[in-house]
Amino acid sequence: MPIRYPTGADYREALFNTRRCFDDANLTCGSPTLDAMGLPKAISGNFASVFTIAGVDGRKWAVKCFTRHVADQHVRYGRISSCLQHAKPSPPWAVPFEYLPEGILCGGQRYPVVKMEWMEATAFLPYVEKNLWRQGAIARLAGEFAAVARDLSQRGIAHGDLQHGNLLVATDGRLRLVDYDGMYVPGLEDLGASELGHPNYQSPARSPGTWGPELDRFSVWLIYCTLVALSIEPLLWGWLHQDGDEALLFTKTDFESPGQSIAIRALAQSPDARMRDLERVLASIVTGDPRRIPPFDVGAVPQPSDTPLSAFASGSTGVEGTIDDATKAISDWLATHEALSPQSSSASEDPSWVLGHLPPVQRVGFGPTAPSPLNRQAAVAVALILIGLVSLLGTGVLALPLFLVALAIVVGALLLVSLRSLRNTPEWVEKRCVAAEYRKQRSEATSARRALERAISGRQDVDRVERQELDRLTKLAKRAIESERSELDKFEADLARRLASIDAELEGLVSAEQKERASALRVLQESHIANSLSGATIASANLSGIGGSLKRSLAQYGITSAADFNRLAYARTQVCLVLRSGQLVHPRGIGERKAQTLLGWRNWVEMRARATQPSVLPEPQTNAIRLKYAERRVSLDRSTNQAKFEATRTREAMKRKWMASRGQLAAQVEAARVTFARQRDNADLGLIGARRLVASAAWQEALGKHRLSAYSAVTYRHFLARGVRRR
Amino acid sequence: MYAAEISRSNPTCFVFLIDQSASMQDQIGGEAAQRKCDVVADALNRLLSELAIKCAKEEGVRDYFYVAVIGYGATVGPALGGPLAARELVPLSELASSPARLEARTKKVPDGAGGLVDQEVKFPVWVDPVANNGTPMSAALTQVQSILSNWLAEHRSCFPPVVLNLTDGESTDGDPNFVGDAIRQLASTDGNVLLFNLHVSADAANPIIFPSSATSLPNAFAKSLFNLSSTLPEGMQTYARLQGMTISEASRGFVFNADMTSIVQFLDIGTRASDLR
Repeated sequence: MPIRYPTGADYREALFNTRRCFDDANLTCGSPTLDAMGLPKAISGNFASVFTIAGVDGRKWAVKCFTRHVADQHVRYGRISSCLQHAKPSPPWAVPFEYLPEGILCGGQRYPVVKMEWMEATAFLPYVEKNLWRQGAIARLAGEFAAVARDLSQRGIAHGDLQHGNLLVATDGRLRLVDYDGMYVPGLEDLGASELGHPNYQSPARSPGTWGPELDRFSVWLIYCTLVALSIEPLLWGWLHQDGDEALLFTKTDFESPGQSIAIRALAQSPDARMRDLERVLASIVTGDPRRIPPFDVGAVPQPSDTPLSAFASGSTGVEGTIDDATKAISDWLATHEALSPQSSSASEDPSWVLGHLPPVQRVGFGPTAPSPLNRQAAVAVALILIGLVSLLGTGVLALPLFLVALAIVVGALLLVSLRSLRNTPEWVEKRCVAAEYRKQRSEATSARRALERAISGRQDVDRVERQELDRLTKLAKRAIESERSELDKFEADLARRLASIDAELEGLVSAEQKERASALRVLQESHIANSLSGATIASANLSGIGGSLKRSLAQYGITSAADFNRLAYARTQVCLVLRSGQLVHPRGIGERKAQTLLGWRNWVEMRARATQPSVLPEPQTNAIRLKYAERRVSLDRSTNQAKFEATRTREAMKRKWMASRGQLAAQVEAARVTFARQRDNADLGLIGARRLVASAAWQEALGKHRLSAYSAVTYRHFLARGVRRR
Repeated sequence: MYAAEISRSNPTCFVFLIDQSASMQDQIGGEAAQRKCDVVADALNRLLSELAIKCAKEEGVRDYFYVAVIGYGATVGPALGGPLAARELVPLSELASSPARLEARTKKVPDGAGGLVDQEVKFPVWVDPVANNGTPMSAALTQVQSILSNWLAEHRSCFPPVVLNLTDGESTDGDPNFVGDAIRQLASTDGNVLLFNLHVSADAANPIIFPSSATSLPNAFAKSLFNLSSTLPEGMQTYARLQGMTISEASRGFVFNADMTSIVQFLDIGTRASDLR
């Protein structure tokens, strides 16, 4: 009894509880990726379903669950694993994996799984499709594939199932191989093949007995040649690959009957010698024993081309290239074939001379069974009528004008009848069908061209709008930097002014302090002199000539001390004393001499006082002044520090503000970049699709025209001429 | 023959015919105490899940198959529920994303250590069990004939469509063999349409699986269903042998007195059109 393996749905049910179904530390705590309905999402191949598990540590794992028992799977995976792990240098195409022989519990039994870390990559077909028109991309891919193939063969390893589904293009553009179920490594000689590989990538003669290091030869030659062909002529994709095909350009039916293969003949009949070389390589591998296929040799295949043959292949931006080029490229190719093709369409020659697509122009004429323009009775009737008319004219019964009118009526009737019978001929009906079809193809081609025009202008719009947006953002950034700079400059200038004014104030304090000390001293000295003057009384002074009566007389005017007057003045001829108030007085009994004596005494008292006046400010007063200024200085210093501290804070705040706005700007730039990248990708995809539509529609149009040309002899003129000849 | 590659550009279709007559309320033969209509609906829902998973790729479910479910009982017509009600052939991707509902079920599953534990699973349901009235099998097959003629007009080179008829009784609207023959005459370039029949039994009698001649069959009804059925193509024979069945080259796609297991097997083998990649 064979070992029954769980189905995809069985595994999906088990995955509702990862803790129960897995033992592996990464998987048991993980959670499966779910589909839109919230069920664990499967990706299935022929013999397995793969589930994605997100581990708690953020890593993602692909877990391959087998739906079919494979004999010796444990041994196979063990050898493959040790071969790949111990290889030095490690194979660049390999994705590390772990074979867990009892990896999953499903329906009460344990089954093996293969655990692989999830890798971000693009699947092969979408990658090819997307990069078909990018300059050099397919050539690079071909080179990368050749390198992988060389590496495999140098290690004596064969993947066993090289096909688009097992080739991934990693984000760095390098190729990775996945699915090692059918892999051959040294040491597995005795086990034999466990599968036959994808039929669209394998020799039809591959059997379970085909096993060994040469297992990949067919698929390597095939994939490499296909990539080279696509790098030379991307149009092939539009002609030979349909959406949904599980193949690049060639499928198993092409290998089984290469003689009838449209795809192989497309190469064989290309005007480009490289395409014909590729066809020879493919023709040599599709027949015979796959084990006899020679080892892969890049030198035996034309170089992949960086510049596609088609004139309308675009450059790197994907927008150069015009519709006319597309049509021209196709009609050029067709024209070459027309020129090469035999002009006659004898049935013995192989009629498919145009890419295998175009059937020969079997010139259609009116067959022997086609009705003649007039049936016999009608012809006889017309002849009789004509004879009658002529005889009537001859006998003079009918006048010439009447005869001509009758003749015109007869001829008109003849034309009508023959037109009707032309319309009934199968050839005419066919021609009308073919012509209608051609008109439809032409209008489809026209609308495809318009769609391409729109796609091109849409793509250019994306670029234009992107440029505008980038300009706008660049200007914004420049303006932001300028405004930052001017804001900072203004701030620093303000700060410097403020600090300078504080410095100036500090400097001013020194002189102000000195001035204040000097003035305090002056006040002290003045009061000392004033005191001395007022202390020197006239009464106690012994002044010659100034007796008691004069002293009394002086006192009457309030002059009792040296302070009470300060100089002499004359009122008319009379000498006067000038009081402190400025008033002039003339005490009785004073003459010029006595006045001079008094003034001399007063000046002497003042002189004596000046000699004894204080020369320095007393300590307490000096201290008071110093303290007062020290306080001011400290407060100014504090202001400086405060200003500097605030400046630092302000600068930081400004910087924060700028960083935030720069961050916003950067986010805008990034968002714009992402948006435009997406738009560009979408537009590119649209463009590729539109190009493909144009290519195939133009092809169909050419084909329709070609078909229609077969009916060039199906015209009214030919119809009549044939009628005349037959008669 | 029966070797066409099934791809998105060259898909094939399955038509499931479900007997919804009153007798489908009866319990199925064997250990399980379940109504026949429940067992059939469960098995079909399960199979639709399997098909969807089998065709699931990175970007989603691929339309390798188109599926129609036709019920016959009180009425004859499309039997998918929910958003797909009244639709005939539905592309698999659409089918996969639009079940009538997700049913939360608790399954007893072995815990791997000899015990049983409850496991919560979500079970997508497209078809609900229905059982009343007669068995208008001929009318149902007539509808299938028109569906498939239309399909084949547009898919000239597809893997031949497969019709899987699950019934528990004799047709009540005339001999189905006339229209059955007409269906089996329909063909793509890869071969004739395949018509497989399964008879669900209320008896606990041993099922007769994929017989190669009518002689061993117990009654005229069984013989009539045998005659209605196509021979299994080589690929399905190989697959059935891999499942441990005894199959000859003349084995017909027919199961009599089916129990629960053989219903699942019948659906599995009958939809094994060709290897998918």
